[in-house]
Amino acid sequence: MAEKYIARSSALAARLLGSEMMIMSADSTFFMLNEVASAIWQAADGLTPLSEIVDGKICQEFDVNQEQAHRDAERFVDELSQYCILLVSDKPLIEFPAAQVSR
Amino acid sequence: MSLLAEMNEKALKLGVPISVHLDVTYRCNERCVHCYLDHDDHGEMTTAEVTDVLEQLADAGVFFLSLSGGEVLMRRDFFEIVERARQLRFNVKIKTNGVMIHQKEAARFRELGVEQIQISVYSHLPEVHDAITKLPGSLKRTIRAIRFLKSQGLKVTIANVLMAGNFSDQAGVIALAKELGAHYTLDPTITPKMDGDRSILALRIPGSALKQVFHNPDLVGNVEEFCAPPPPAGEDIMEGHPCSAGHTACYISPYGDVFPCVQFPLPSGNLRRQKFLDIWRHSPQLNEVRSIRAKDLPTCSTCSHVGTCTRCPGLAFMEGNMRGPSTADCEKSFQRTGIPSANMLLRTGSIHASPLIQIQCLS
Repeated sequence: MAEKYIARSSALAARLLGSEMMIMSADSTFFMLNEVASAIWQAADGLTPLSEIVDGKICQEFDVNQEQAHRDAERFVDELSQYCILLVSDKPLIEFPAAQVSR
Repeated sequence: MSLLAEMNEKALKLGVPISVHLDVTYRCNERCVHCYLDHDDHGEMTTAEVTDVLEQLADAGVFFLSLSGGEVLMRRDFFEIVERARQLRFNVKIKTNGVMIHQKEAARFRELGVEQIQISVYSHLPEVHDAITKLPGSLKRTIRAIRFLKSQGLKVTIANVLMAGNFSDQAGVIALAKELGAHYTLDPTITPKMDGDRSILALRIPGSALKQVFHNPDLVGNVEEFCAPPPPAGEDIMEGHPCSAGHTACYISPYGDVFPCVQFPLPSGNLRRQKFLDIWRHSPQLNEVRSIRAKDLPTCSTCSHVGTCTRCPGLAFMEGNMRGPSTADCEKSFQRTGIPSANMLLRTGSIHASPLIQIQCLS
């Protein structure tokens, strides 16, 4: 299965509130990500493969089953990419300005 | 509960300032008759200072950022400020009179991902609008700006401040907003000047006009529901706080002064001397504002409107007591429901009237 690379879109507003990420998309849809989803979103630097984010971060920091975590992460990424909140590619998104991280 | 309401509740619980209104300048190219500001520049924050403040606000958890003035575009570095704000992922709303916005500026706002632009329009008639702004040709330029912004696909809201002199043009402004594809919002509140001068309050619309506004289904939706007598206040209301000022929101002036709200001129700290989070967490003034519950309001806690009134603690403060009534809001509650507020009854010597007798005033 091909690797997925994910990067945060720069066209939205986002802020961490407690452990949850608030996001307002470009079309003014409001989202709140739970703690696990927020961790994936924050790690979405365009360079780290999704599988590595799940294995190296999510499974280490949260009490989750690895197989289930991969399935949930795939579904989460697909859903957010439909709203253009996450950019997804099968190659590293090296041109994406990932400097503005998780304030 | 909506997601936004859930977020507000969480921010309140965590003590996070989720919304900040930052005036980047008090300078303006219009001289609106009702404006509460002193337009001289007494030492605005520099670009570097504003940038530093934005970074502090992001670190403090601020999500909604309103940039206003004065006229924001009087600052040559305004786009630099907006760009930095968007890099920091704020949800940015801009308030402007629009007269300096052309195609180029509108395109830049779109590129930067500004959420919404609010533009003041006082009338659909140039002679009325321009007489209020005291800038000849201003309505024409403002409408042109709205067209530029809409052509970029931006969300524009027309803010219609209602005064005695433009009240009859309200329907015309609504029609203009519709024609331009803009949202419409009205505000019948005229506040004293920041130096305490109350002379501009004479511009307020009379009570009878306020009543018309509150009974207009195009503006308030279900009139019967909107104008219904207030239900009895329970413990949750009496233990509640009046508004978001100082709780999840605050205001910052172009000089770095922090206040609970733009309408609440209680100086609570200065960002040239203190860090934002120190002011937000430890200012005695903000902590005093936060400590006030509805049950602590000497007159308002006895008022039948206590649970539904739009009482503004800032306007009450400007009347002399942040725990006192705001007479403008007493008037709104009265014109909306026909039931006088406790403060109105107190002034006419009827404070001891029972709730039943207050209801009789309706007929």
